[in-house]
Amino acid sequence: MDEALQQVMAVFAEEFHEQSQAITQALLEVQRSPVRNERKALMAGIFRQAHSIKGNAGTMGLKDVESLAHAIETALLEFRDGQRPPPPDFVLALLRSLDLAHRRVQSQRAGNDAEEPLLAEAGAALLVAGATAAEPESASPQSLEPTHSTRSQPRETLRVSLERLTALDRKVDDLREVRAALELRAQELHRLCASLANQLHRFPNGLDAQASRAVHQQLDRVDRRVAADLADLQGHLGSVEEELRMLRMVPAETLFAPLYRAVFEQARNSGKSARLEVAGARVSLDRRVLDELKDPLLHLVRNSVDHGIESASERLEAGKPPEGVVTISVEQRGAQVVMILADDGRGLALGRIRARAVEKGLFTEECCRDLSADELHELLFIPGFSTAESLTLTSGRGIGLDVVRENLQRVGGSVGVTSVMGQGTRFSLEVPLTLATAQVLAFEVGGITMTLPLHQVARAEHHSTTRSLSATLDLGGQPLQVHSLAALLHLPERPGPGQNAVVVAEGSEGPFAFHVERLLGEREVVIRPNPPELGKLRHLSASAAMGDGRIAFILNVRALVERAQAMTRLPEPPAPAAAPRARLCVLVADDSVTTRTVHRNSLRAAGFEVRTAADGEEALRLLHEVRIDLLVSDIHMPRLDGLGLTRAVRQEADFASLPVILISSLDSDEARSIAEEAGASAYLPKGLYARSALLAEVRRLLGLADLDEGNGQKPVESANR
Amino acid sequence: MGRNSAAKLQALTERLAAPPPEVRTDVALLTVFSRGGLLYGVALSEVVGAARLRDLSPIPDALPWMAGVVSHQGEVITLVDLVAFWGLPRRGVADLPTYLVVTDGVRRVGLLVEGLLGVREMDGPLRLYEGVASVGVTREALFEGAPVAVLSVDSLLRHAAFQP
Repeated sequence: MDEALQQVMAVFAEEFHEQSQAITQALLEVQRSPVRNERKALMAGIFRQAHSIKGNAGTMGLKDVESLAHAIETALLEFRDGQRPPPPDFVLALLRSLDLAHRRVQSQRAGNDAEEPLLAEAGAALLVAGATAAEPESASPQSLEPTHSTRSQPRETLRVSLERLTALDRKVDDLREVRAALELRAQELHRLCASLANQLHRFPNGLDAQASRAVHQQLDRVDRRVAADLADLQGHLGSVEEELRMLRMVPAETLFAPLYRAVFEQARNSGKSARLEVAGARVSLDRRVLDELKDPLLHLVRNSVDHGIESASERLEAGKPPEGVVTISVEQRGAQVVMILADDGRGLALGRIRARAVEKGLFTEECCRDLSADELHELLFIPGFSTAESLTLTSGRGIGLDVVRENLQRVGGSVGVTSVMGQGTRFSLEVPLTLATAQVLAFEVGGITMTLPLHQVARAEHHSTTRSLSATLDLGGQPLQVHSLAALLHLPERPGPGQNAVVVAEGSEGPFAFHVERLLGEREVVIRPNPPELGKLRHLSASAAMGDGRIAFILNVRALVERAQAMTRLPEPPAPAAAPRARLCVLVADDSVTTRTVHRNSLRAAGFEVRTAADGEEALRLLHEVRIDLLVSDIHMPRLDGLGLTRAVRQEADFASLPVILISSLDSDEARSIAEEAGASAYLPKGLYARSALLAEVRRLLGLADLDEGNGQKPVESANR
Repeated sequence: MGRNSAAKLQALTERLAAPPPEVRTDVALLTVFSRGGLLYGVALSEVVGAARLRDLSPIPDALPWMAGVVSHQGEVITLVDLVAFWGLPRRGVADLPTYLVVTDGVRRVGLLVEGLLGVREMDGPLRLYEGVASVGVTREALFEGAPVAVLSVDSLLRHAAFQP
């Protein structure tokens, strides 16, 4: 495809996306509208959009899309007069045919001009469905006024591609850096002028008085002029930044079209009745923030309908209207935007969360009893934690809420949840209005400058004396452990006298304190996304352009907390009275804190002493420091993976006979033979793997198979390697 | 075995024993740079630009081949030390004054280079690379009699190490 055609294709694809979104939204509104004339007007809009798609697709040579648009027009004729809304199943079929057409258009845009055979089928099905649509239901839907309208005043607009806007963004970023560099130079010049003036004053004999005064005045004039020019530049650049910021701002309502559809579809699929209501849709946010919100919101509304909203009969029994409501309200609070997503469903069942936590081995039953409702709600954000009794296509797989939190944290946002049993659940999402610039606290560790967004900094202070690792800090009467950031990031520690400082970060996990070498103060920085290849480095959430050409990374507090948890050796619980004296020690290496916790708890419950490591390198170090009787390791880990760890272990004579169990998500003969070739004693696939299987394998390899369960003891002579 | 079969087998054997045919491509011009005492070439279509290395910002707790990041035309670019990536003997970053920004059409990375020779015409056509397997090196050529390993940025960035 030549460049000109590519450009036209891009415009067509974008327009098609807007048109199909408009059709979707109008179709859903038609469903809800109680007023015939309004339905008629909405249907007229749908026809216009379908007709435009037909014309555009024909022009672009996409005959299959053109035919589908024609079929949509024909199938909707039955409902054009607004007498009754199209039935929900018909709407669902129409929306799916638009999905197919969307896929086809995207494929064509990518250079693939093969027709989509399913489109013809979808078109034919629509014609049949339209012709055989059921008669109107006797009762018109009990509904509210539409929460917002697709109609808007015509405005003169110019379509600019996101790429061009991004390119412009980068140019302005460059200008900001030039401005920052000029500021530094101006400060140097100011100091130099002051120093020269001082020298002239102290040693007047070098010049006669008149010449001295003239030089002094010239220096002063240059200094003032530079400062004034810089102020001018700042003013103009500030205006450009503001204009550009406004160009990037997009109303929150652009997020909601797929959400209306998701609620509609999810309700149909689960045999429930539910609707979405939105308030504050006109609040505008940075396009990049909106992009990060798309998936989390979609997941949350699906979850609300799937798990929160009850069936119509349950709701009637509970004295609620048969139709459940999911509401989203958007509100700007200063530089932040708060989105509240609430449903009026059954609420979160704390008992089930407790049971799940015990079942997953995260806590004992006793511990769970002491957890508050907030603490229990927080467990829902742990990867793999799900309370769904049955899995559905879209939810209940436990892959959601942790991803929701991760997405929001990527843009400096947060998410929390509250719930009242029988009344509903409420998620609160807070994100920055814009990502262009941010206030950060800069500090130095291991000679590297790093930053934290200022809104995440609870406290930062210098200390005159060097503190040792794991010292504690008094935080409102509560002791708070202070970690070494250098140790957490595997950097050399080089504290100097008077250069030791502590930063307390306020994350969703609570306060987290760490030592740094030097505080560099607050800075306004330009936020930029990390390159994709740094995606695995979870401790770095984004990059900050410091204005002097350097890049400093913004730390991800959650990832640091996980590292600290992995590195902190929890005290062993007191041994039960019947516990054996010589307990066997199992080393668990896994980069997931949840998996480590689960293994640790189950092995401890079986009477073993357990050590944990977050990766292969840490495991290797522990093997040299502590007596280990068996190693359980995940294969996929950062720095040194499980295969590398096993090979390294087998190369050392001391560990030649150490039993090693490798665990991986791959369940194939090939994976098993690779593990065996590396020197593993046993291989357990994660999918089929269960705690009992691991315990059985551990016992077998330690020669405990014939001993009672719950006894991590081995005859003393064989326990001592 | 009949005479016909023997002749077919002989012809097949000769075909298999023959040297691999030269793979001709349209790319005879390459951006050539040196690193670790060897010459490397990148197709012009995969080169975005080159710059003097000024403000290299280190990446905390990164893999050894991630030399750092730079701000290149407003974009944060990871600089890749190919020598560390391939596990070849290392030389200090101090003698790497330049980086080359390359792309697979979607993403960009920077390659640390010792000397940038510029755009050069190869002595002959590109051939399939037959040296020690190195991720990203797919072809080879000769430049003024010296071997040039030709880097495919697409192949390099498809490697698992570069995946998010």
